[in-house]
Amino acid sequence: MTFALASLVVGPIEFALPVWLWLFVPIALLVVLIGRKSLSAVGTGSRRAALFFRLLVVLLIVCTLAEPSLRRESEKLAVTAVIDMSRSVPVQMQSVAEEYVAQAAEVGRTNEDLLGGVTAARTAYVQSIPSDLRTTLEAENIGSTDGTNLEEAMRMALAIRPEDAAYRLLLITDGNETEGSLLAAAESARAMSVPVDVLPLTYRYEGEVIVERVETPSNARMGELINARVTIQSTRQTDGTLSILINDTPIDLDPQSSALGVAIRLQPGSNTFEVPLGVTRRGPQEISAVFDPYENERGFGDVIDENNRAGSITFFSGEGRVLVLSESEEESATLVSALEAEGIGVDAMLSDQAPQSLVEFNAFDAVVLCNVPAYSFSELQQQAMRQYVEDGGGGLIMTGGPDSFGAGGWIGSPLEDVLPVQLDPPQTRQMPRGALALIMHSIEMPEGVYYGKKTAEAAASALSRLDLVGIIEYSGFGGSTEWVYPMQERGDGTAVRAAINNLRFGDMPDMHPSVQLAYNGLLNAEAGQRHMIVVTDGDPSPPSKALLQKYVDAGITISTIGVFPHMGGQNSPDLMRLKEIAEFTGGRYYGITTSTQLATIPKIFIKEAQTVKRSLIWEGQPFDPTLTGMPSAPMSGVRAVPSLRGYVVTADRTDGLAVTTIRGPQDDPIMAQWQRGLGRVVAFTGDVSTRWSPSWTSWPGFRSFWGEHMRWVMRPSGNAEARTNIQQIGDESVLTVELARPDTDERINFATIKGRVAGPDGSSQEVVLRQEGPGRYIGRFDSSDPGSYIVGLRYNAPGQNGAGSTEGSVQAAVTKPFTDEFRALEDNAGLLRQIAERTGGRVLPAEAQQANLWLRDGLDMPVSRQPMFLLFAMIALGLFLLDVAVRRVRLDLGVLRAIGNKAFGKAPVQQSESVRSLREVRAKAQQKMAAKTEQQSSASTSKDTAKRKFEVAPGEGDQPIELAGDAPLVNKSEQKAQLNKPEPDKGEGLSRLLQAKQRAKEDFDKDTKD
Amino acid sequence: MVAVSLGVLCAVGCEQQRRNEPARLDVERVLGEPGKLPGQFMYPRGIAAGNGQLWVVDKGARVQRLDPETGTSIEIFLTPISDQGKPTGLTIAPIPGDPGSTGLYIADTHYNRILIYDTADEEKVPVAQFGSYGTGPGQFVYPTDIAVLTDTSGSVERIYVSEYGGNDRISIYDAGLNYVTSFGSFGVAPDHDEVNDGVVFDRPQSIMIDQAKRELIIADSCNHRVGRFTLDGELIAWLGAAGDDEFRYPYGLELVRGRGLLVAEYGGNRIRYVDLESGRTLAKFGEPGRELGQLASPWGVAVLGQDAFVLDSGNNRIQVIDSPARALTMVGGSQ
Repeated sequence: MTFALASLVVGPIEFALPVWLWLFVPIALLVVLIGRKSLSAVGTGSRRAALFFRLLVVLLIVCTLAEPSLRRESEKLAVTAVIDMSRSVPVQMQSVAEEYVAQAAEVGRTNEDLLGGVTAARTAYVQSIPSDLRTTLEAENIGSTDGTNLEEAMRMALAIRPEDAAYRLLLITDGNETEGSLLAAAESARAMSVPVDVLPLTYRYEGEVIVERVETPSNARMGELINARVTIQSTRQTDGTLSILINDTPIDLDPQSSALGVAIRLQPGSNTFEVPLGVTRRGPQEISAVFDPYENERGFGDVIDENNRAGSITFFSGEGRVLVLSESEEESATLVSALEAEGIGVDAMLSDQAPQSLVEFNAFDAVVLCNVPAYSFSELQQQAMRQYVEDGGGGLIMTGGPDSFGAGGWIGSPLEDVLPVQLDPPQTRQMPRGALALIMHSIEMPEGVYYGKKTAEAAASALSRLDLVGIIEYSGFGGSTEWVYPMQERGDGTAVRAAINNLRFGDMPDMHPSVQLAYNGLLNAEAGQRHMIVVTDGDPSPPSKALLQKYVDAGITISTIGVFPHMGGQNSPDLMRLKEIAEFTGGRYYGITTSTQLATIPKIFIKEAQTVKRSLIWEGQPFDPTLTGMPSAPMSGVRAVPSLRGYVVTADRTDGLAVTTIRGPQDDPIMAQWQRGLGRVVAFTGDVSTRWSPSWTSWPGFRSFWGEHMRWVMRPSGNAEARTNIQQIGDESVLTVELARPDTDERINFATIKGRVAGPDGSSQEVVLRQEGPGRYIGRFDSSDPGSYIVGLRYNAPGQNGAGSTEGSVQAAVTKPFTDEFRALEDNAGLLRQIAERTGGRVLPAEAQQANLWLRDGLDMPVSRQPMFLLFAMIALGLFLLDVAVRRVRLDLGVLRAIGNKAFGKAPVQQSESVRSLREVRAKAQQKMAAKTEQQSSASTSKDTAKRKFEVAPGEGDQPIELAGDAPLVNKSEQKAQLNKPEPDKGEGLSRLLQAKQRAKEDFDKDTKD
Repeated sequence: MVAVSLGVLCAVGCEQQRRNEPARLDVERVLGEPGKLPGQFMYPRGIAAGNGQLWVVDKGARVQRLDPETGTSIEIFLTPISDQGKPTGLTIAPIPGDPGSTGLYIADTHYNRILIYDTADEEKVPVAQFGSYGTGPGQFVYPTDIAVLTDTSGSVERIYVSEYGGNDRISIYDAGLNYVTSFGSFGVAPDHDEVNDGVVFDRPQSIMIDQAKRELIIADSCNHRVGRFTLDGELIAWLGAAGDDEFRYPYGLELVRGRGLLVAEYGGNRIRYVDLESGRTLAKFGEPGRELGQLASPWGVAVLGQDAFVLDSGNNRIQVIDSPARALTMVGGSQ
C-alpha cells in the first residue's frame, strides 16, 4: 500500500479521494448496531451473512465515493535528444553528436522505448517526436545556425513528452547560448521531474582571429581624408591579408602589389591598424575590414570565418540631392526638369533601379515617387522608405496617376502610414467599388502555407474598405469547396485577416466547384469591376468551358497564377490550361517556376487586386482645385493652381497633424503635407504629366511650386556643427552628440534633439538625448542584433543672442558585425554540469556504448487510470440485493435437487421423495401457523404486541417463504378459503390491527386498574 | 445512475442510427505513423493488397511492403525518379505472361507511365514499363490507377489504365502491353450531355475489375460518382445518390464478396459500403478528424483476408477496421 499526494494506492487500485474511506468506520459500526437488533430474529448463519453483505455494501459505497480507478504503470521510456547545431559547435563535433545518439540508443533499448530529436540553433526544430521506430536523429531543416537558443529547444523537447512513457532528455551542446536561458528551461524540466542528461561538447580554439571593430568618424565632408582604425584580436601569431571595402567594393591598399589587400602579421592579443581613406561620394558609406588568413593558417591560426569581418558607416556630407523614381522617363520628365531649373540636384531612376536598403536611400535628402505602384518595390524597400522618412529624417513626395496611392496598391503597405492622406476613403464617400474573389490552392507549392497566407493578405490589404472580397478554398476535412471569407466589404480588414489565418490549405482535386462558387459570389456582388485570382499548381481538373463562358458573358475576368507545376516548367500542360483560362476570360496569366519568381507572388496579388481598384480613380471634366488657405510654408506664395482632369481619390487624415492645402471635387484632398517622425511628406493626388495635368505642365508657376515643396521636404543640412560618436557597450550603444556654432565654435546648449534609430530588422526605436555637458548630449539605444543601426537626429536650438533658432539634422550609424555565436572560443561545460545536477540527470561519458541512455532508475513511470466507480457501484447494488435475498429467501437444497432431477429426467422414485419432502414441509408450516395463532392470542397480555407486528417471530425467519420452481407451499384448500374471504388481505390486516388495538386497550385498562 | 447512463447511450446511438450518420471506425489496429523511416508515412496515397501482401506508396515515392498485422516495413524501395511528382496508384496482379507471379503495378503519375515490378525480385527493378507523356494512343497524362483482367488460369488478358490532367480517359492494353483502345474524355458531368456526346470523366482516380461479373468499376472522383462499365467501355450504370448523400470525391475502390464495393471518399472522409447491383449504400464508416476512428482525406482502401485497411492519408496511417470487413472477403479485382 502506498500513499501518493491526496490519493491512496491499494495494489492495482488507486483512490483519488481516499478521505471518503474514513466514512466506513462509523457507518460500519452503525450497520452492526442496527443489524444486531433488526436481525435478531434471523438465524445466526443468515444474520452473519447479512451483516457481512451489508458491511461489504457499505465498503463498496465508500470506495465508490473515493473515486477508485484501476492503475496501470507504463514500462516505456522515451528519450529526446536535444542537439546543438549552432555554429559555435565545431562542425566535426555535430556529426559526432548524431553518431553518439545512434550508438547510445542501441544499448539497452526495449521494443517499446521511444527516441525523439530536437535541434537547437537560432530557432529550435522538432526533428522527430518520440517514436519506437526511430533509431537515429537525421536532422533536416535546422534553420539559421548563427545563434543558439537552448532554452527554446529544451522547452520544445518537454512539450513533445509522450503521456504514456517515462521521460529523459539528452542534451548535447557546448553550453554556449546567445538567446534565452538554459537554466530557466532546466527549472521547468525539474518541475516536470524530467532528468536532463548532458553530453558536453568540449573544445577550445587554440588559434582564432576576430576582427573586433572598425572605427571611422560618424560624419565627414565629401572628399575629406578619414582614418579607418581596425582592431583585430588573435590568440596566436597569424599571417594573412587585410582588405578594406567601401560599400562592398575593395580599395587598393598596396598600389605596389597586384593584390588589393595588404599583408599583415597578427601578434597574440589586440592588433590595431590605421588605414587612411578618401571618399568622393556623398551620403552614407559602409566601410568594412576583412582579414583573410593564409592557407596554411586555416584551421590552425583561424577557424571561424564569420568573425573575420567588421564594418562601420560614415556619413559624407555634400550638396543635397533628390531621387525621383518613376515607371518611365516620360512620367517624371517634366518634374525633373522643373527641379533642375530650381537648382536642385536630381537623380532620376526607373523604379527597378531604386535603392534596396536604408543606407542607400539615406544618400538622398528626399525621394519622389512619381506614379509608381507599390508592387514595383519589395516589402524590404517599402520598409526602408518608411524608416528613411520616420527615422532618418528624409523627405518624401508621392505624386498621383493611375498607379499611385490606393489605385497603386499602396493601401496596407508599410508606406501607407507615412503619407499625409488616407488612402482608403471612408464608407461615407460614395463611389463605385470593386469585387475580388480569390481561389487559394497553394498547398502543393514550396512554403505553400506561408505564401498562401501572404498572398491572400497582400491582395485583401490592397483593397479599399468599400471593396468586396471573398476567399475560397477546398476544405480537406469538409470535403467541399467553401467560402473561407464570403464575398463582402473588406471593412477594416480584421475579419478577412482572421479568415486567412484559418485557411486549411486542402489539396483541391478540381477547380470547377471553386470557380462555380466564385462566379455565384461575383455575379451577385454589387460592384463595378469584378475579378478573380486563382493560385494553383495546375494539378486540379479545370473548370468546364460552359462555366468559363458564363464569366465572359458577365464581364468577369480571371487571372491565373500557376506555381511549380509537376512537369514541363513554363511549358507544362497544367500551366497551359491555366493560361487558356486567363486568356479566355480576359485576365492575366503568371507562370511561376523558380524560387526567384515565387518571391514575387505577393506583388502579383497586389497588382491583380488593382484590377478592381480602378474605382479609386476620378477622371472627368477639368476642374479648378481649391486652395484651403491652411498655413503652409511651401504654399505661402501660391494664390491659385491650374485645373486638373483627374486624381486618385483619398481622404483627409484624422489621426495626425496633416494639412490639406488643395482640394478637389467633394472636398477630396489634392495636396497635403505633414511631418512624420523626423521626416516631411507631401502627397499630390493629381499627376505631373499631361494625362491629368496638361494645364499644370504649361503653368509658369509649375517650377517654383515644386521647387518650394521640394525644399520643404528635403532633409535640412543644418547651420550648426554637429559631431556624433557611437560607442557599443555590450548590447547597448551610447550616442554622443556635440553641437557647436560653425563660425564661433561656441557650444550650443539647451537644444532639443529628436533621435530615432532604424534597426537592421526594420524596427524603429526612439533615442532620448539629454544634455550632460556644454553642448554635449548623450543617449542610449539597444543594439543587440547584428547589423547596421542608422541614427537620424533633428535638432532645434535657440539662436545666438536672441537670433532665430538653429535647426538641422545629422545622421550616424553603428554596426554590430557578427553575432555572439562567433565569439565563443571554448565550451561552457560548467553550465551543463549544473543543468544535470539540478534536474537529477547525468553527465554522460564520451563513449556512447557506456551512456546507458535507457536508464529507468529514479524515474516516475507514468500511470494510466481507468475509472472503476461504476463497477464498484454495480457490485454494491448486487450485494445489496443479495443481502435482501439472504434474509428473505430460503433455498431448500432438497427441493432444488428435485427440480434439477426433474429437469434432467431422473427416476420417479426421487420425485415421490421430493413430494414427500414437500408435504413434510407443508405439515411443519401448518403446525407453525397453528402455534403462531396460539402465540398471538396469548401474547395479548404482552406490552410489545404492536412492535411484533412488523418483525419476524423467532424461528420464523428460518422457514422458507418462497421457493423458486413449481412447488407451491400453500395447499389448495387454504387458498380457496382465503379466496372466499372478501378482500382477504386488506380485511385480515385491518381486523388484526383492530384486534391488536383492542388488546392493547384492554391491557392498558387492566394495568391502570392494577 | 446506471439506468440513466444506459438510457443516454441508447438514445445517442439510436439517434445516430436513425440519421444514418457515419460513426467512427471500429478500429482494430493502426499501422504506421508520420515520418520518413521504414514503417512511417509521408502522406500515403496508394494502397494495394493481394496474395497476402500489403503495399503502400507515399508522397516520398517510397513503396513499402508492410506486415499486415504489425505494420512493420518488410521491404521498401523508391521509384526510379520522383522529382516531378510521386505515384498515386498501386495494384497487385499477375505479371503478363507469368500467371503464377505476384506483380506490383505502379501508376507513376507524374512520369506518365506504368511500372511493373515482380514482388519476388529483391532488387526491385521494373520488369516492364509502358507509357509516355501525351494525349495520343498509348500515351498518358497523369495515370492514376491500373486494373488487370485475368482469365480463369490467372493469365493477364487486359490491362486498364485511368488518367486525368485534361486527358481523363480509360485506356486498354493487351497482355503484350500494346495499346488497344480507350474510352471517355474530360468533362464536368453537370455541364455535359453524356447521352449525345459520350461518357466523360473528371479525374478517374481508381479503377477495379469484377472478374466474376467481368465488369469494370471506375471512380469518377471529381464528378462524385462511381460507374459500372463493360470491359469494352460501355456504360452500365452510374452509382451515386444525389444531394447530401452523394459520393464526396470517391478516390479508392475495393471489391468485396457479394457484389459489395468499398469506396474511400477523399472528400467525405469516410468509407462507404455499396451494393453494386442496386447502387444502394449499405453502410458508411468514419468521420473527419485526427483521432482514432476518424479520417483525414482517405485515398484508398484495401481488403486482405478479413481485414479492411483504410489509407488515412491526411493522418499518415492505416486504420484496420474490424467491421464490416470481417465478414467480407475480397473477390475478383486486382488481387
